[in-house]
Formats: sequence, C-alpha cells, structure tokens
Amino acid sequence: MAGIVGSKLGMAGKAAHRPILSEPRWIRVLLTTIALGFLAFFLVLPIAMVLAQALKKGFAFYLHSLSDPDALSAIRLTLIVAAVSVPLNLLFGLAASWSITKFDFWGKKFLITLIDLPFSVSPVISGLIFVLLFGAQGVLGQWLGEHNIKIIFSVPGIILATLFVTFPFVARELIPLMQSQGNEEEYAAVTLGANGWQTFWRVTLPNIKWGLLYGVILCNARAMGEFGAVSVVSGHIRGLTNTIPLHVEILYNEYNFTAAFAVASILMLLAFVTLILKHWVEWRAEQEATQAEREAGVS
Amino acid sequence: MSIEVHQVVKKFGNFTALKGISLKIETGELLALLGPSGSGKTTLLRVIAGLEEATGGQVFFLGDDVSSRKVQDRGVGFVFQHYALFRHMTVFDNIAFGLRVRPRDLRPSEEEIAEKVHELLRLVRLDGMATRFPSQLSGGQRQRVALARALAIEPKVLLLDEPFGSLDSKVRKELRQWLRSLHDRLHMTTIFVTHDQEEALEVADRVVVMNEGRIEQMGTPDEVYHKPVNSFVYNFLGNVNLFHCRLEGGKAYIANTPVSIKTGVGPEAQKAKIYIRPHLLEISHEKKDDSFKGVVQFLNSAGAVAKVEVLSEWGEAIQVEVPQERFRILNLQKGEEIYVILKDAKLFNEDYMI
Repeated sequence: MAGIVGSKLGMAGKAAHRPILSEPRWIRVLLTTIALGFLAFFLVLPIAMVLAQALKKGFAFYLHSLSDPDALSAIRLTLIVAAVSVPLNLLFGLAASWSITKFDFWGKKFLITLIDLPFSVSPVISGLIFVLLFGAQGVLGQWLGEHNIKIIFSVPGIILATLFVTFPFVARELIPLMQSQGNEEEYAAVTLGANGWQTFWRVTLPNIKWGLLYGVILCNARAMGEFGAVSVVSGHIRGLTNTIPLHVEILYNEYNFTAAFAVASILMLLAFVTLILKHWVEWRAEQEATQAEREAGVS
Repeated sequence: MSIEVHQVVKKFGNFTALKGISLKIETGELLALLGPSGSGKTTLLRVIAGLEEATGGQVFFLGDDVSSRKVQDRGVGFVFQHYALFRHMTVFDNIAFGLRVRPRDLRPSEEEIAEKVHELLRLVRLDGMATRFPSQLSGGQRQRVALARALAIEPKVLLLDEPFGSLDSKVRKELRQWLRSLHDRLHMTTIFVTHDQEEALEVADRVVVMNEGRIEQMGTPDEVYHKPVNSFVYNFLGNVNLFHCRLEGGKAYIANTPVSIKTGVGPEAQKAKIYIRPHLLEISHEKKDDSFKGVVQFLNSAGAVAKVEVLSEWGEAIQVEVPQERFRILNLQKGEEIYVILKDAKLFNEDYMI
C-alpha cells in the first residue's frame, strides 16, 4: 500500500520536474552519440567480427568446426558443468538468502560479506585455491591420490571451480528481494498452521520466482562462459577437460582462427539467448507489478 | 477461551520491551491493548500468539501453559497491521489457505473448503470478491479478507495488531463498529492492539493501558477514562491541560489563584500537577470560584464543540471546549478578557514524561 502510494507520488514528482531537468538539444544529441558510438565500437563491432571470422571459409567449414569431436566434447562438458553447478547454486542461493532474510543468527553479517567473495577475487585465484587444496602437491592431494580420486585436471575440479565462481548470482538476486518483501506473509502462513515446508512452497517461492529465475539465468551464463578459474584446474586435455571457452583458446593459439571463431559463436549465441531470457523475465516481473499497481489504482 | 499472561518479560538485546506483564482475559472478552508506540503492546500480542518467544514468564490458554508451544499449534487467528495477505493468491485462496495446509486426515474436502470460504466471505461482506487479488481491493476490504482468513481456521482466540491503523478515519469508524457487532455475534476471545484511545474506549470491554513495557492501568473504558490511576493514563486517554501548582492549607494554588481539588490531595506545600480536560473547563464573563483570568487567543467553532484557546494570566495557552449552544450565548471575541472556571481537575504528584 505504502509502496504504491510512494511510487505514484514519485511519478507525479518526475512529471512535474521534466521541463526543468530537460537539457539543451545539443547536449542530448552529444550524450546519445557518445553512448551509441561506444556501444557500436565495443559491442556491435566485435560481435560482427566474430560472426564474419566464423563464416569466413563458408558455412560448410563452420558446421565442420562445430561437429569436430573435440568441439563436441567441449560443448558436452560445458553443458554438464552447467547442469551440475546451476542447480547446486540454486539450492545454495535459496538456502543462503532464506536464512539471511528470515532468521537472525550469529555470523550473519559475515556470511553476507562472504557471499560476495567470488566477485571480488580474480577467477585465476579461485582456480588456484582448488589446485592448492586438491592438486598433487596440495593439502589433500596425497590422500586423494591414495584413494585414486582425481579432482584437479578432471571434471570434478572444473565443476568445483565453476561452483565457486558462480555461487553469488542467485543469492545476490534474492537477498534484496526477500528483504524488501519482509516476513509478514510467512508469519501469516505459520499462524494459519502451515509448517516450514508449506510456507516455503506456497508463500515464499511464488513471491520470489522471477528474481530466482533471473539469478539462475545469470548464473548459467557465467557457468558456461567461465574461463579463468576453469583454465587453472582443467589442464586443457583435449576431448576430456576442455570447456567451450578453453577450446576456443586452444584453437586460437593454434592459429586456427576460423574454427576458434566458429566455436566462439556458440558462446555468443548463448549470450544472446541469455539476454533475451533476462529481458523476458524482467518484462514479466514488471508486468505483474504494474498490473497489480494499476488494478490497485482503479479500485 | 481464557488467556492468562504471567510475568512475561521480553528483551531484544539490551532493550526490554516487556517488563513483567501479568494479565488475565476472560473467555469471550474483547480486550484492547492501548499505548503509545514503543509501549510493548504489539510485542505482548506477538508473545501471546507465539510469533515472539518471551524471555521470561508464561502464557496460559484455558489454564494450559502454552509458552513452549509453536505458533502453528496454538490455534490463534492473527490479523496483521498491514494485512499480510498472500499477494499471489486470490481472495478465495487466501481464505482457504489455513484449511488447505492442514494434515491430510484433518483437511476438509475442496467442496467443504469452498462452502466455508463463501460463508466467511458473506460474514465479512465480501461476496463476489472471491476471484480478486489483494492488490485489487481497497484497504478496508483487505482488512476484512485478513480477518476472514484468520477466522477460517476456527481459532479459539482472535488477535488483531492495529487492525484499523492504516485506514482512513471514516472507514476506520465503520469497521470498528462492525468488529464490535461481529464480536457480539461470535463471542470469541479477542485482543486488539491500538494506539488510538477513541478506538479502544469505543470498541473494547476492557482496556489495558500500557507504557514503556508495563501495564499502567486495566479496567473498563469507563474506569480508565473517569478514574485514571495516574497522569500518564489521564494524559493518554484524551486531550488535557496541564497546570503546575503548589499545595497549601488544603488548597491548590495555580499561580496565585486558589482552586479546590476534589480528588487526590497530596502532601502540603509540595509542587504538584493538575490535569484537566478541555471540556471540563468553562468560560464566563464574570469572576467565579476556582476561576482565573485569561485572554481569548483563537476560536474554532467547526465541529461538535467549539474550541477556544485562552492565554492565562500567567502566560500559558489553555485549550477549552465549549458546547455550541453556550458558545453562541458567550459570543466570544478574539482578544476579549474572560474567566476560565475549573470544574473537575485531577491532581497527580508523580512526574510522567509523555
């Protein structure tokens, strides 16, 4: 209620101020040109280059580069890594944001700070952490070696590194959302006799679904595109431990530019799909919000 | 169901919200917890509901100690200040929620649920609103959905946290009379929290006046209004004028005007405070007993009574309420010199910060 009133007041204020805030024409043109020029140079041009390079030797060669066994194995590994790490991070993100926003516990502030760690640490360092832990010379290396468990230079290591790099995405999306929604509805649910599980599925989850989906999309994009951390732990074994970004690098280093750009175009496609999905989710969430607001205004 | 609260203490870190509260609520009673913000009234309500765990003391329902019982098992209907309706559910689903989350063997069939929901919708006069979403309802309608949702689980106690707090004054008045009549029909033990004295006095069977985590007074609206035990209660239950006075020879002196005090005479020659409600002051053109001189500063005759502000001879602004009829006869003018007569003053020795 208060929020609706607030936003309406906000809108009224904006409308009243528009003539005052409006800049002279030449400033608007200049700023728009700078923004668009920047976008064209740093975004559109590279994308066009990737596509042009990928298709330089014709469409047949493009398809051939993609159906190369090593390329296929890289695509498969990338999908596996995303399929494992995204659901795990979804669970972690839900658990973290649920406990941070719904309960008070000792070390809560510390946990909030810690969640951001992968954002502030260089991905290479993130990879090295796992090498130092699980590598042959690492803390647990000898024990793992004795039990014949391979983590570094193999798929588990890649998944671990990806998990580490991508775990803030869902939590970061949900914490502010859940904080702004408060606990009142959950309190209402428990007074009506709902247990914790019912409260979560019937009340909390429906309220956060768009934020959750948004977080998952971003998490997935990063999981598939991660280079630095994965590069350190993977060992770059062709057909075995190469993800798409690593495979692109190998091809590039071998001066196989056309094939490199062809494989890279898959990542670009993924980026486009992510952007469209992200946009759609934002649009849906906004639609629901404005619809609710409009209806509230009518009645 | 009767409720007993015994020596309940609630601490939030260093802050003590409830400082040993004890009270008993009889079956079928409608009780108001009245107090300024920060007085602990909402905390007490949440402790009774089980939404807040007491640091010390016990809560009894029908003589059973429920202090360690979970909210889910206490069987209380709770109506939240901001309704807390499930925003993604229709009115129907909101009201049906409490029935649908029951364990399978206790859960009514969907037909029974539908019947119950429609019965409740009729009770709160929202028939035909079942398919609306909370965002499509007005504040008063949302409040009634919240009430219907709480009643759906057939609670033994109904707890309402500032039920009319965020509604405009006209809807508030309608709804509180409706709540009173609903209570008279259902006879459910009901506790509601409010900071609005008018609301508490009008609706409740009994009023508990709270301040800073303590109970100041408990009693019927009549008792707390006419026989306040201390200046806080007197002050909180309506507008008052405060006079500083000294006591001498059985008389109280405000500045140099002697006034006779009927109730509560304190020790001699001590400074004390006299409180008097604006409608217990009278304005006259002639000097009388227990009166002092003043000058009319402001006049406002819009409303049921005319409000007059008088600047007393010792320079304090005093609010007087004059019945419209008397106001017309007096024919007061701004700047006119008049006499203010004290009809029924209350004297309190203790100091209270309001």
